[in-house]
Amino acid sequence: MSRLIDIGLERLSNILYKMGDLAKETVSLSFDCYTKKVEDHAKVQLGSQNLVFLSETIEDQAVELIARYQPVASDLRTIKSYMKIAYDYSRCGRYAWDITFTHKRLNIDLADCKLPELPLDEMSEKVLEMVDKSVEAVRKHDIDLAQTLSKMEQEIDDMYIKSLDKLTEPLPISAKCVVANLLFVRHLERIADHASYIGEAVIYIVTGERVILR
Amino acid sequence: MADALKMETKELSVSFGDVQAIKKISLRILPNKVTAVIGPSGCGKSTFIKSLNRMNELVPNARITGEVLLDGENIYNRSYDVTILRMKVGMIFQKPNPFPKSIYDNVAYGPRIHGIHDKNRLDKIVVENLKKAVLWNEVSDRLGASAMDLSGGQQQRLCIARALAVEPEVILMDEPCSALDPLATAKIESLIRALIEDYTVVIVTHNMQQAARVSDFTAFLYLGELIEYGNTRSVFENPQNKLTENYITGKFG
Amino acid sequence: MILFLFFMMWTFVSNGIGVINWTFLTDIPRKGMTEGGIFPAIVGTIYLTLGTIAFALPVGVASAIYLVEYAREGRFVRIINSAITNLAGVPSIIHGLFGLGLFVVFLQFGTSILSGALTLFLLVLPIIISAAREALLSVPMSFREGSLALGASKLGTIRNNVLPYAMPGILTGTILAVARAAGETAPIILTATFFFRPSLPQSILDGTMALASHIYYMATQSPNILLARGITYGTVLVLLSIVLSLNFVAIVIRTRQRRRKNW
Repeated sequence: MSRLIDIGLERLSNILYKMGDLAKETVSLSFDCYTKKVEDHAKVQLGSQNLVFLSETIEDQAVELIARYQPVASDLRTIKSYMKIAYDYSRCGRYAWDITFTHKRLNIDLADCKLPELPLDEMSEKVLEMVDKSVEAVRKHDIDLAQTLSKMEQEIDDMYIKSLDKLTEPLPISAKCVVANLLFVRHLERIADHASYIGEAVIYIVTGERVILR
Repeated sequence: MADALKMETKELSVSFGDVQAIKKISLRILPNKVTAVIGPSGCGKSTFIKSLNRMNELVPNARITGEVLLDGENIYNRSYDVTILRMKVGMIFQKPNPFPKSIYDNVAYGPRIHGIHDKNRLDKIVVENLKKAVLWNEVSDRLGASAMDLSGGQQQRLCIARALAVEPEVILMDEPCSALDPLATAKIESLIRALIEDYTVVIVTHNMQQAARVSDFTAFLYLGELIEYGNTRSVFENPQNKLTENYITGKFG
Repeated sequence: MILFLFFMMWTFVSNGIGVINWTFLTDIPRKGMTEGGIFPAIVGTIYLTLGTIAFALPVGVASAIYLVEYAREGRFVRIINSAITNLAGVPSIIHGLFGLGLFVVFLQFGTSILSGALTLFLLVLPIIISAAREALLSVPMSFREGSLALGASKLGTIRNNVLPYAMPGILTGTILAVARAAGETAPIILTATFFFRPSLPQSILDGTMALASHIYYMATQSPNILLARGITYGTVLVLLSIVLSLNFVAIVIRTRQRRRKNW
C-alpha cells in the first residue's frame, strides 16, 4: 500500500544516493590530487560545496516530512538517519576539500615528501574503500556491509597513530612536508570516522539499535 | 515489580456466542501511568477495556474466561461486588453521555447513588471535581443549567468530572476524543496527563498519534490478540513485531 | 366519518346540555331515575377507576420494567409480548364474563367495586404495559451504561436514571387507561354495578352505580325511558366530557414531551 509519506521518502533517498556518489567521487579525486599529482582542485571544491547544499536540502525535506506526516518506527529512524548521513557525506566532502587546499596552499611536491614508512597510499585506498562501502550500505540498507566498517576503522586508527608517532620523530624531510603529511593522515582518519558513523546510522535504520563501529 | 501493578489481565478471553473477540490477553497496567490500547477496527480493544470494569456483562451472551486483577484481586470472582468495582474503575465513553439533568446533578449523581445527601458535602464534591476536570471556570456560574446545553468537549469533561466524583482509582477511556474537534481533544489530552498524578488511566484510541502523545505504555492488539506491549517511546521508535511496525507506519489498518 | 362524529356530538350536546346543572351533578337519582342527579354514578366511576389504576399501574409498570430491563431476548419474552397483544384484543364482554366467573362467583367477592376494579385492571393492563414499554425503550441505552459505570446497581439505575425519563410516557398511558376504564360498560355491569343504589358505596366489597352502566340502564331498563331520556343524554355528556378531556390531556402531554425532549 502506497502511503503519502512514501513519495517524500523516495525523494529523500534519491537525493541521498546522489550525495553518496558525489562524496565518493570528491574524496577519490582529492586523494588523487594529493598522491598522484592530479590538478583538479576546482572540481573538488565544487563537489564539497554541492555536498553542503545537498545536506541542507536533505535536512529541510526531512523536517517537512516530520511536520506533515508524524512518522514513527522505521520511517522515523530512516528520516533521522538520513539527516545524519547527509551531514557525514558533507563532512567527507569538506575534508576532501581541506586536503586539496592544503596541498595547493603548501605547494608541495609529493615526490619530495614521500616517506617509505608512511603508508599513505595504503591508507588512502582503505579509506576510499570505506567510503565506497558506506555508500553501498546506505543504498542497500545492508547492515552486514556496514558491520565490516568496524574492523576497517580500527585499522585506519592504528595507521593514524603510527603515522603520528612517525611524523613526530626527527625526519629528513622539510617542515612543510611534515605538516602536509600530518594533515593528510588526519583528514583520512576523520573521513574514515564519518564513514563508520554512516555505517552506524544504517544499522540504526534497520535494527533500531544504536551501535558503535569505532 | 509484580506487586506494583494496578491492574493485570491473565489469559483474558471474551467471546460473544461463537465469535471470539479476545484471545488470552495478559496485560499489565501500571499505576499512575497512561496505558494506551491501539489496533485496527475490530481488533477487540473496546471489548478489552470493557472487561476491566465488567461492562461487557451488559451484552447478553458474553462469555469471559481468565482473570482480571485489580490490586491483586480477581474482579470476576463471584464475591466481588460489581458496584464497588465500578466505583473504583470508572469509564468515559466514546460519545459524551451527560444525563439530561443539570450540570450539578450530573456530577452529584454518583455520590448521591452511593448515599451522600448532605448538601454541603455534595457542593464540595461538585466544585472539586469540576475543577479537576478543568471545567469549573466555564460553568461555575451556571451549575443549574442543563448539561445538554454544553459543547461536545465540555460534555466530555463533565462526564470526566462525573466519573471522578465517585473517587475511582482507575479511569478507563474508550476513544474519548473521537467525537470531538481538535481543540477539545487537545484539552482532554492535557487533562489526561494531569490526572495521572492521582489516577491510573487506560485509554483505547484508534488515533496512533494520540497514543504516542498521551501514553506511557502502549499495547497493540490485532484480531483479538496482544501483539506487542511496551514503553510508548520504544514501541513508536523501534517496535519489536513486524505487525506493529506495519500498523503504526500506516502500511495497513 | 367526521360528519358522523359531528352528528353524534350534536345529538348529545343538544339533548343533554339542558339537563346539566349543579343539582344534576350532585343529587341522587329520584323517582325511578326520571329525576334527580347522577352523583352516585360519578362517585362510583371514580372509585372504580381509582381501584383499577391502583392495581394496573404498579403491575403494568413493573411488568414493563421486567420485560425491557431484565428479561433476556428469547421465546419466553416473545410469548409474553404476544399474550399482551392478545389480551388487548379481547372484547370487553368477555372480560366482563371472566370477571363475573372468577371474582364475583369463584372468589366470592360478589358484585363489588373490587370485582369491577380487578376486571377492568385486566382490561387496561395491556394499555399501561405497552405505553410503559415504549417509554422505557425510548430511554437511550447510554443513560443506563453511564449510570452503571458509576457503580450504581441495576435497580438504582432504573429508579434514578431510566424511570424518571419514562414518566411522561407512562403518564400518558395511565391517562389513556383511566379514560378506557371510565368508559367501559359490559365489564362493570357484570361485576360491579347496580341499577339503582342511592347510597354511596362504603367499602370495596360494595356494589355501586357508575356513569357507563347508568347510561345503559337509563336507555334500556328504566321504567319510563322516555322521561328519563333527558337524564340519559346528560349522563352521556358527562361521561363523554370526562373521557374526551382525559384523552385530550394525554395527547397534550405526549406532544409537549416530544417537543421538549432534549436527548
